[in-house]
Amino acid sequence: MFALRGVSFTYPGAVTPALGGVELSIRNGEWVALIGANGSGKSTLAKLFNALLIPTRGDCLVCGLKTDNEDNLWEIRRRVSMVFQNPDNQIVASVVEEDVAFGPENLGLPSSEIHERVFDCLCLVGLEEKRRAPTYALSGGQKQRLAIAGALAMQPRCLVLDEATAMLDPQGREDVLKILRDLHKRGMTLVQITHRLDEILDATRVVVLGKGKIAWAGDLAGLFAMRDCFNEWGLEMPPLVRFSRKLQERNLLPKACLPFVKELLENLCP
Amino acid sequence: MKFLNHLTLGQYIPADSPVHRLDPRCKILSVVLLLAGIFMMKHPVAFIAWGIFLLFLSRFSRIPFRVVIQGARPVIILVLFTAGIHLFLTRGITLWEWGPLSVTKEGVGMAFRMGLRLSFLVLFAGFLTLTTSPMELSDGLESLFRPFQRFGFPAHEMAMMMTIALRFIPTLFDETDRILRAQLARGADLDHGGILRRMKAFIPVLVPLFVIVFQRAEDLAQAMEARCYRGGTGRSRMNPLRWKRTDTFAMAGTLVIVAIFVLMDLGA
Repeated sequence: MFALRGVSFTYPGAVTPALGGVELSIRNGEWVALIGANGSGKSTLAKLFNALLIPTRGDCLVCGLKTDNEDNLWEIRRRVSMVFQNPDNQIVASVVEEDVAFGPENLGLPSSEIHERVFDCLCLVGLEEKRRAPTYALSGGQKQRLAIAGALAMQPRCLVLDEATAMLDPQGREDVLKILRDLHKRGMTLVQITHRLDEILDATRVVVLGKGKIAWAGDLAGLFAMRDCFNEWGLEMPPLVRFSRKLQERNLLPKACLPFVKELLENLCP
Repeated sequence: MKFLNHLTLGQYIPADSPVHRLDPRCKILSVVLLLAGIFMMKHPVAFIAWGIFLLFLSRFSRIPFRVVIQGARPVIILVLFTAGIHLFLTRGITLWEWGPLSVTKEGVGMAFRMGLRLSFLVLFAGFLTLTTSPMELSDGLESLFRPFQRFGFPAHEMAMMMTIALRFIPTLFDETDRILRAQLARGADLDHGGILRRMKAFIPVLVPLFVIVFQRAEDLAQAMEARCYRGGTGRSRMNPLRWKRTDTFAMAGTLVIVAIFVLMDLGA
């Protein structure tokens, strides 16, 4: 899906690069969590995936298409949709269904297909009853679900979520994560950018960014085995990981036990 | 409670009414006709007729009259200012005098007429945005201005700009409200002193507001680009505009009503 070869990016006027020599491949159907402290380059990397930013050095390929070729931009953005942190800044229309239709309208699709896509996407995010509602009347969680519906209406192969849950309450966060689980089951590639480790427990791979470079990459079990590095990466351990660590320190839990609810229950209440 | 609540300027109120179902082009042209008629009204009988029509329109479009009035609140100062200017600066038979200020008989009539004219203008124009979603409105405007595109008029860009402006009115009011509260919590005094002092006191509200507006504009532009927006070229519509028979009837009805009101005014 994505192949980044020695990608560096420096913002205009900046001295230090936001990203430096990043090598990364993401396969179709993966759920990749990109984590890291503020300023580690997560959002910059996300914008490279959608060709909103073009690398200053190196190559970024999306489905084999180079993002620095202007002729490819349209196709790349059709295949990779983005959901940003603040839903208020990505909602264009004043009515729910009109906002979802914005992307398909840009693609020049016929009216019947736009109606179909809008209805399907609103059902997927559970907003079908709000289709005629004004967007300003939605809650924060509903607005973010609307933003996801707007992104999905493009029928992309991959969804990139740039801290899409950062401004939501716990219920809103859970609603969004539920949608992501559903999308992943349907085979969609997900790139989830966050600094909340309790949100990445469904990810198939984790990439840790630090100071514009890939500091670590691997699966969740491997990540939690690296918990001594969390401070260095500027990450906070989720409560479940802290809890399992305390149990392991008191020999109440085997060292090999992963800090997931299922594993903890199996070990603590066999 | 919000400081800036009850502001419905430019807000769309979804409802299932015959006015909501009309083609936006029909509504835009009808409003232009109505506004032209309002500009011509002079006689008190005409004012009453226009007022009754306003109430009828509110009922017909299923928008509570209270909501229509709320929409006009932000322009009350403008209405009072215009009426005040006419009240004090119109020459004629003096009724009251105090220093350089004088109120004339003609001034009272003029202030009354101008105040009501402006109020009716705002209230009738308000129906357009209350019953038409910004997206429909922009489609309507784009369609009406399309013939001017050949002379270089940016019809699509203007329509999209208006859609976004209307979409962000509630958001920016919320943002202003939040900044106002934050500054008041820090001890800002926005209500006391002369005009100059009050204007100065608003600088700490305006500066962060402008920063936020520019930040939002940047984010929105990126979000639109990410959704394949590249101007009007090649764009289709979820609900393409279709001029129906009801639109023709509505248009003709408006024309007849405006003509009757204008003739009634001239006759009176």
